[in-house]
Amino acid sequence: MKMSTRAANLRGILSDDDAVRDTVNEMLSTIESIEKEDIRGFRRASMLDPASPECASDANGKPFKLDGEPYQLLCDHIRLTSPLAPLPDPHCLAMKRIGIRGVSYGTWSSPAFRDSNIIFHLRGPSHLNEDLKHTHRAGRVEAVFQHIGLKTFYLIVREHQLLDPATDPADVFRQFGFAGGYLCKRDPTSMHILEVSQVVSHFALTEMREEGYEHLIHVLPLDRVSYQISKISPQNLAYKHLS
Amino acid sequence: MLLLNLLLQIDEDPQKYLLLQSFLPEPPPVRAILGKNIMQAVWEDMKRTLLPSWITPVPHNWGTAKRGKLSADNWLVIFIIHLPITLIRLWGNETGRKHELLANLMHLASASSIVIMHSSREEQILAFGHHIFRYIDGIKKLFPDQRLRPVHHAALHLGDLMDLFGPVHSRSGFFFERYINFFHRINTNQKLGMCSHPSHLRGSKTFFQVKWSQLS
Repeated sequence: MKMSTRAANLRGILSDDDAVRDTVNEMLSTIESIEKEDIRGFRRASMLDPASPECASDANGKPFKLDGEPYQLLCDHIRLTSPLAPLPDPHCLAMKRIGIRGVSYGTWSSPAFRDSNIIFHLRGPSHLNEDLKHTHRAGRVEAVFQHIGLKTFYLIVREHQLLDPATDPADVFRQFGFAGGYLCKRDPTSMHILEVSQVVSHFALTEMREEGYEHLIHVLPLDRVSYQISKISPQNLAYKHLS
Repeated sequence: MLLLNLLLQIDEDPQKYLLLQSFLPEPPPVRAILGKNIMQAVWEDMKRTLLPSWITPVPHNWGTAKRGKLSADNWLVIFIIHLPITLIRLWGNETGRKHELLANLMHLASASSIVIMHSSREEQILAFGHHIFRYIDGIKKLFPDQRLRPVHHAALHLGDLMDLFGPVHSRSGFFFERYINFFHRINTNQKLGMCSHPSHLRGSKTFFQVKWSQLS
């Protein structure tokens, strides 16, 4: 009770007194990060609150210069929407996690690696003609950054490739629709750069150990916020052999 | 005396003994579907499964007497994540009863995955209705000697309730738990008896009331 009272008094002072806020500026970010932590039962409220921003990130992004393949992908991504736009500035802010519509996503190399496995959808001319069931992909978040000039958040993702029917074993999971998940290649390969709106959900990753399946992982999309996961394989929503 | 003679005759004559035994009801069939081997496979797969941080992991030895009872959330995670992964891997290519059991489980997993979502749409309600009906229909076919429980009946109405009132979280137990938690987090300054309204805050003056009195 004493601790709660002291915390309440401190919060009151910090919210009102600008002089105190200036003095303990370093402490504020820590307190704010504690406040943002998931409080039992309140995450859902923040997910569904229409007033809350679409995405929230770490306050302390580290400046870095984007180069190599990620920068080329960013240029391509921006040219897709505005072909005449000049090349973007490579200076960005790197962060370890980002909250999208109340759901937290982290990078593979950070302590938040459990939140780095994501289902996403691709966007662009090369994917427009693809079958609908293949527009959703599974991948691993390698980096999260905010472009300083554009003020836009991006995720760099490496994709787990879908199975090749010619060379890979049959996927027994697909017959059960979105609740059964599907198999993908274990090692993530091709890199994509995503806007936050392209992120669909997390997935549960299970490494396969059976003979002939060692190079594969099982992907089970997990989403409680929207119904987008059912679009991964709409033709399998109802079981063909049981209906 | 007559009864004693009759019992002696039965004991001495094996044919009569067998005839009498045939009138006894048969013992109930063994219903263990998730035996030792299957459970071992589930536990092994659980070790290799990486879950997002918002999913509470299930105890590694669930299903044993040592672990004891599980929470409702644990059962949900088992039925929508761990059992589908292992059972499809093991029984996905099977035919016959095992495949029927698996299909029945997957109808339950699909219905559960849909009903726990925080949004509801018409297509979602239709999909839920499809899966829950198939699941309950499957119980009657797979376990004809078992009677359906009231909870099965209630589950069939969840689609209607979603249609009328929206996603289930707004009226589930967790909703009320959230408000209890909310009340726990209300800031007080230990000045007892200074609040007369509302009743649940009687006996303490809240931070908001202090701020309001300072402003007015």
